[in-house]
Amino acid sequence: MKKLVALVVMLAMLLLSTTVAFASPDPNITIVNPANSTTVTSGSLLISVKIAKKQTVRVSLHKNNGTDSNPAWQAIFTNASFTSKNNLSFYTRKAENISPGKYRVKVDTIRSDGNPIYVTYSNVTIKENVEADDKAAYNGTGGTATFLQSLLKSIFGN
Amino acid sequence: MKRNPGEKLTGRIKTVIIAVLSLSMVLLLCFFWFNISMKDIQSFSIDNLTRVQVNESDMLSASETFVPSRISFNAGNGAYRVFNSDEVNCWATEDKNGMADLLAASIDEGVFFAEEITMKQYEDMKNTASITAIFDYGLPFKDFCSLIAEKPPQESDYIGAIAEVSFSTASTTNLFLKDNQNKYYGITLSKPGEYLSQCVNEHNTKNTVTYFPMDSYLGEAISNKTLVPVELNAELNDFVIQRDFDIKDSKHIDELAKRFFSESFDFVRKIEEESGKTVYMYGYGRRILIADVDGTLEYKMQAQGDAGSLSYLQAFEVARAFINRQGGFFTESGQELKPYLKDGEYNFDKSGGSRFVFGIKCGKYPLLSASSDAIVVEVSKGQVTYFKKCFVSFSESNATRESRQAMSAINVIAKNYKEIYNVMEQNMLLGEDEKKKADRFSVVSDKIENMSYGYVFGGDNIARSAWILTYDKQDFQMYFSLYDGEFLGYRVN
Amino acid sequence: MDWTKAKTILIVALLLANAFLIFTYASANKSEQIAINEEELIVLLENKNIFIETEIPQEHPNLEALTIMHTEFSKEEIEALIASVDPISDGKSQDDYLQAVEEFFGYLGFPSEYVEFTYMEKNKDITTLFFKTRVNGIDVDVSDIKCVFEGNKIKEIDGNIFWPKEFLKKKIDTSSAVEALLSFFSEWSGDEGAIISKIELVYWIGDEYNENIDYLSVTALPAWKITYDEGKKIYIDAF
Repeated sequence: MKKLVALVVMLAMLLLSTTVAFASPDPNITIVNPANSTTVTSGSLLISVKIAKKQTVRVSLHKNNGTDSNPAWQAIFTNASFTSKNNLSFYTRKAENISPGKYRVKVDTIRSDGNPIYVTYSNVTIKENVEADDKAAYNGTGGTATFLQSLLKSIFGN
Repeated sequence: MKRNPGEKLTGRIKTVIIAVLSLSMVLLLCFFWFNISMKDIQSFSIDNLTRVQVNESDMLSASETFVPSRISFNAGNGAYRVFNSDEVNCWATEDKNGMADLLAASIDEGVFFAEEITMKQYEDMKNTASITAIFDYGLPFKDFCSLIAEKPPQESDYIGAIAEVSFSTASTTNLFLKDNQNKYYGITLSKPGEYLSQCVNEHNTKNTVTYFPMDSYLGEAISNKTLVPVELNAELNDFVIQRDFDIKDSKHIDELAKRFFSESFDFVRKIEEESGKTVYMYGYGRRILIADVDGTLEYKMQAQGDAGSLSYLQAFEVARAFINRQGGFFTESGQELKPYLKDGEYNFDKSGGSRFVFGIKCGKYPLLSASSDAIVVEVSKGQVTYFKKCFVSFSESNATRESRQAMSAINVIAKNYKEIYNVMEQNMLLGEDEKKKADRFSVVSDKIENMSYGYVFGGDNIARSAWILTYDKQDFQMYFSLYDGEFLGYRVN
Repeated sequence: MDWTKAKTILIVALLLANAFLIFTYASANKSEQIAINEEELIVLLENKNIFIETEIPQEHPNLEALTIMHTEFSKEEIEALIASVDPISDGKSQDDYLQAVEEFFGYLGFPSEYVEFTYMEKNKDITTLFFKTRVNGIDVDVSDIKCVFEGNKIKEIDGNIFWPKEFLKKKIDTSSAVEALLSFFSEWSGDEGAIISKIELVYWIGDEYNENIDYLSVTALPAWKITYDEGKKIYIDAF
């Protein structure tokens, strides 16, 4: 009886630890781009995942067509597999024609038996590409005075 | 009175003698009048007739040479596309609406005005939908203006060598310039660049390789904006090259040497070393030519006289004429190579001299040697004081095959960063601050100035498809196999 | 009109005209020679305290440039050969030594037409014979061979040995000794003066390659070698 109880407890602990492990991010993985909770302009999204260990990962990109509280994940691409053969590797990919909205990059770290042991997320908001004119920081024709000023600066220093 | 046959024969002989004597008298008179001496006759040789010289038109002109090393297009969202300048029609166009054309027009119409701007203003402009023409070689802005316009504007005296010229769709009546002293300028145009705006839109939707700046891949720890392709499917294939001459073929080497010494070859000493290397020397080191076992020809001459220095463009013409006399860009086997200006510097010797380094291309891609450039010319005091040539022949059809995926650029760096760091350390290319940093990967990534791909060949005469990592203004390059990222070699100048 | 007679007269006239032109041309060329003679040169040199204590060569043949090849032998080869050669007889006159060396050089394959004996030195039991490489009467300055005898046996062969490999087609018009001495005079910057003991035409390979002999073949060009102040040498290109 005691042996049976011990076995059950052990199994329960294993399951619990696996569940706990399954939900946590991989310490060897950094989703460099897009960085978590950032906002980027649309068009092309660069996904760059830094992997600091020899292991296999599967990368997915989903769009949230629902809300924050009630997410509805639409797959852009799923389970793109990448195996790193060195102690430092990057998974990089370009996702084209990304419409504005909220997205999530998911990286599953895959154990040798094929099961995921970690999952790492990065959430990003894609916004409309800001009109170029609004960003214009240079509108100058300068004028002789400004030019002379910069010339004097270059001769005499700041 | 009829003449007998004997008399007829005598008559004919006399006529011939008169003809010969008349001819010899004319020749002797020529000697006298033109002051020709026997020495001049003796020094004339068939060799002078057979000296190779290429048609002037075959040699690259200044306007064909001084073009951007590459042109990048920014979609305005952080994604870029990069092309060779001959693949896109936006620098100098037939309709005179390219970047160089607009600049020329603004100078010629007296509208040109250059205002110094901050780095931030420049970067902000580049971050919009824009085109950037990048120059790897040092082309002095003033000389460039002389080339494209009637007269360089006064302000060009204060602007250094061109590093980049940019056009932004957010500011279409301006061009932006970055010089080699890290100064930035906004230049007024006489008319808006409408055609260039169209170019931007057109090229940003092309289905070609997309590039992102290095810091997009590696995060905030890196501040490097060097463009790196995301994914690359490449058609490059390894192929065999043949050196331009065999050092053991001494007759051929002598013929090559004659082009450098021509009239004075009789007084040239020839020294053959054990390795096969052959040295030709005239005037006890005044002029030296070295033909080496690796198929290179190196010529040095001590500058004579007190002639002043030439401008960059004038020096280019001297260099061009010299290259022309040595056979231009044709190999000894008659293959016409595709040259491009790889590097250059005005005042490299601190006395107004100019240096030009030419590379060659195989198709669209650079074909580099791990040890020598295709042609290096130095012009000092108006004379060519240094010339080195390393040509190879190859079959371009063997250089490509079906596209396959290359190892990603970032992973090439990630796989090899320790090796790169070690090479930098051994060659004293690391600053004190850099040596103190623990994160060697960051050090190596932050210092990269260009990430490109092409072919690299070494002593085994095989040109291998390779990633080319450029540091220190091309003074240091590392080469890795394009498809599996294996170390191939490096070059330190 | 007697054309035959006219032709004869014309031929004679043309012959005279040609002869006249050739003579004038030849004498004009000759006058392009050096504008100084030997006596004037000696006076010039003496003004700078430079004295010539030897004959100034009058002849200077036109010479072809010459490619000379460096010859080396392994020490073991020489030693083996030395061991196999008989000692010379006890007579030991200079001729005996010379004969022995000639035979030995024959075994080594030295081309006898280019080997020139210069002098012999005796120091107790050690006799040394010195040779030079000489081509058509002109010494190849860099090349020397010495053969050392210990007693009546060859002990050692040493030196920088060069043989002619190839003669270049064109003959070089060599300058005269007087012209060379003029160059010597114009480049002389010493205050003390000099005593010239020897002036000879040699084949010379230049300073740089005289020092480092690690090459296979080199071009030797004619030069005037001026020896002064007991052993100092200066070489002046003879073209």
